[in-house]
Amino acid sequence: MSKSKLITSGYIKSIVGASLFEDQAQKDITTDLLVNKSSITSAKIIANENGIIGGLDFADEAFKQIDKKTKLKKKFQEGSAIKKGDIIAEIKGLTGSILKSERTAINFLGLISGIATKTHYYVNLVKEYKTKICCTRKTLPTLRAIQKYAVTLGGGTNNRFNLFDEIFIKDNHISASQNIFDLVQNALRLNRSGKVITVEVDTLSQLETIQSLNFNRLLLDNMKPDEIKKALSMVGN
Amino acid sequence: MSKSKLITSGYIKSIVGASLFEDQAQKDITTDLLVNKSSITSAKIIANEDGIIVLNKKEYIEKVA
Repeated sequence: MSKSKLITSGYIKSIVGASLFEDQAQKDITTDLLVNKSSITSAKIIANENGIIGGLDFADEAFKQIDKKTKLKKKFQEGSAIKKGDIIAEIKGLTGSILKSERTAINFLGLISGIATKTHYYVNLVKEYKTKICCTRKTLPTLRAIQKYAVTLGGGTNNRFNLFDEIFIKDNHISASQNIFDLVQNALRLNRSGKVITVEVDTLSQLETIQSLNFNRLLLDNMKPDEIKKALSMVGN
Repeated sequence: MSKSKLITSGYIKSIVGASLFEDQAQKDITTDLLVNKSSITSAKIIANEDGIIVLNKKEYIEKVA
């Protein structure tokens, strides 16, 4: 699934709305009691450390949902490298509106930039090899689209988005069936919708058993570097 | 707001439902193609390391209230 399909404007509106509701931003009692309703503020979002910036549209949406007159001026493009001290965005609007939305806005920036930055670190570590960094379905419940999007911002790639995306034969399926060859052969035979077939193996013996079959991708699960080298040579890489 | 008001059964139903939908768990194509529909399994969730586990809502509320 592509990045653009993951993060639509409707999705941003919906998840930002839910997050503002979760924070009861429209009922910020402290701001309502203490801040002059006509006060105007200019503010800056400043990077606390080096990294990759992400989530700017989410932050903008958070400010806009509380007060559509709040202006956010982006100083970097989504996915850009930033340095500690850089001004990421400038905001101008009613002080109360900014105070009500800033935590939610920064939570999105922090979550997305954090994942993008960490992904970029690992992408750089392996850049001299024929290797990509790819994420899994082990995501925070209901935040998968955001987390997978953040991985792509950091230069990583996404594996399947959900259980319908592809046929993915894992150790649990193999344990249930006991016969990995039959399992993969059945998947190939029954795959009438042309889904990608990925097979996870734990051992070189499992790989040897299925390597004659014409599936699409192989996942070497928890193998040591020496085993990975042997596995790659077995499949001609 | 107390912890018991945060984690209601309605909240659990709602967020678990959204998470299963996100994963398209009802359309698990691999399982639907390859697993015998009448097959029964007993499984265990085993701790990988020391830690604190939240076993159920009641216990969670008692511990944190």
